[in-house]
Amino acid sequence: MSLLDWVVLVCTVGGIVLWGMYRERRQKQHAGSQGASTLTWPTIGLSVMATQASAITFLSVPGQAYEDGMRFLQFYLGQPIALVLVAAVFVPFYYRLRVRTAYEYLESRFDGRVRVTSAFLFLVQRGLSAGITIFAPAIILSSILGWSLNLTCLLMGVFVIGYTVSGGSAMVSQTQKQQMIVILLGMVVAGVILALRLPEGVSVQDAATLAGASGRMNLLNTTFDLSDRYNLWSGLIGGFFLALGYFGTDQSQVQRYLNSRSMTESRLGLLFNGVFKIPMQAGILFVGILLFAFHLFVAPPLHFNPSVERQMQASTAAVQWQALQQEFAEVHASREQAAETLLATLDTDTEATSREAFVAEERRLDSVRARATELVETTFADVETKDGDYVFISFVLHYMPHGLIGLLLAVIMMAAMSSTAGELDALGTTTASDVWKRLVRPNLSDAEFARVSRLFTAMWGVVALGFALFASLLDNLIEAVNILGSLFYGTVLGIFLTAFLVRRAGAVAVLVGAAAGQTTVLVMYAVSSLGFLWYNLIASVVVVTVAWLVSFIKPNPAEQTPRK
Amino acid sequence: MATTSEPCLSGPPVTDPIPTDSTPDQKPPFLGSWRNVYAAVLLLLALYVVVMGILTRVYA
Repeated sequence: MSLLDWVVLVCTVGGIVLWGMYRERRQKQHAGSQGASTLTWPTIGLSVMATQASAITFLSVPGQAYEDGMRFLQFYLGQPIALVLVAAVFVPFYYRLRVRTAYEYLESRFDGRVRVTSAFLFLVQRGLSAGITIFAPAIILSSILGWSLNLTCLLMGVFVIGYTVSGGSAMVSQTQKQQMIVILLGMVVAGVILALRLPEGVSVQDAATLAGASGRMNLLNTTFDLSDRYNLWSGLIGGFFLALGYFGTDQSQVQRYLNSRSMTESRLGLLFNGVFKIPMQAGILFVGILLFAFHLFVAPPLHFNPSVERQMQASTAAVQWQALQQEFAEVHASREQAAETLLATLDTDTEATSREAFVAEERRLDSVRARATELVETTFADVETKDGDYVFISFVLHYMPHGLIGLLLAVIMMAAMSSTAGELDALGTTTASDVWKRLVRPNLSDAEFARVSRLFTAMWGVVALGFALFASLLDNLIEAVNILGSLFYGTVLGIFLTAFLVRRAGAVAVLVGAAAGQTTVLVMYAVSSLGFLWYNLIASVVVVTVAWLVSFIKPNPAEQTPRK
Repeated sequence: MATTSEPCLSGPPVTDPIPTDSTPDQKPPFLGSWRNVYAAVLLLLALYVVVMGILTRVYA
């Protein structure tokens, strides 16, 4: 990184933080002591989008497409349907009940045990998730500065915790709009630069053709296969339940869209995401496709993680590593030749032969990378060998013009800040409302509540930071965070669906249902090869079904009381 | 919304969980009704799926 990159990075991030502080103070003065919100649907929409799209989205998703193609896009197919349902059913419900957290409603419907249980499930899942989202930008800093991941995790964690605690929920909402705009601009810039860096004579369409030849333009798979993570059915059904649980019951999102000036603004903000999320993700995935095409003509490193590269060069296996690098360079040259031949023979009689030759070279290269991975595993037992999360950052650091490197890094840092801040904020509010105020200090004033929320926000920041220090053991981050979500959202969603749909079920029935649902999913995760998106559906169905069955033995006391 | 003043968690619900006061449901600023807006979003989703299918077929 050059001085210009550091100036752009610091000015962009610092400028937006200062802007947020200024806007938050102005809004406090205008809204009065009640803190009435004036946020409109574009701000809400971008805030919801920014809370969901963390640094992981921008670091890990291009790498996902580079390695596995576009099929991850199917993961989001259920989201528009879920958002319609949340806008139509959940939003009016929360507004009319005037709840501060999603779990407050559960106390009125069941009792305090259900409220605290649901809040606890959210706190565990979101707390772990926040750790992963702190870890993601720490990767960048570690790559740039050559510092250890633990140190950069600590720096990132302290920075984000300080930002969130000092500004609170209002500042987070104010800055997310600007952050999201800069983030989207940055990804467009990355895509344009990649397209311009393709060799002369190779167009974006050619890049897609080459990616398609290697099986990476796999946007839609209509085959029903429960063990396949991403296809039309897992996306529409499993993805629907995941999104319904996330947007309908996760406090980090509920807090965003309830913080608007009216129900109409909340609904439109959510539906904005229903419309734009899929094209946005398609664009980010396509950046990964362009990266793949770029590296057909510009040799990629044998391993994208610079730390692994350094360690192997300094290890006892250095000679074998260098031999593999030599072989990798030779096979890459063959693959490059095969790619050029394929492009030259498109729409001719020899296209099929060229295509087969290209695929064969692709497999040879994958074989060399697999042997490199094995060598890393045998040399260092505790080093993470997956490098998909480093593909995009490697391109940014080595091939982007100076100045734009700083902008792209600012994009990733701001994505980290906005989503982690949203998560920590929600964790703090939920702990203050559903645990502290509910169980310990019921007569908390609004001012004390705000103070306690910030204390708990800081506490959760420390917990998340602790988990971040272990996140390097995980595989691809974007999958890790969604697997984590899928392990818990189904149960919480099942509790809410029981509340809405099974009037005869009381607290005991739903708690038994929740225990059954959560146990089922954890056991399946441990023993089955089922695609993780299906856990959301399974847990929800088990919770509702078991609650309904138990309600015949232990019905809802409120339904038993004759109405006057 | 009322909450209990004691930490007891297992008492019966203290409020009617079905909200009885209705917050006025305003019409959306376009398309005339929320039903139309929801239909438009779902129609767009169908269009995205069709486009994804076409691109997969073209580049496979």
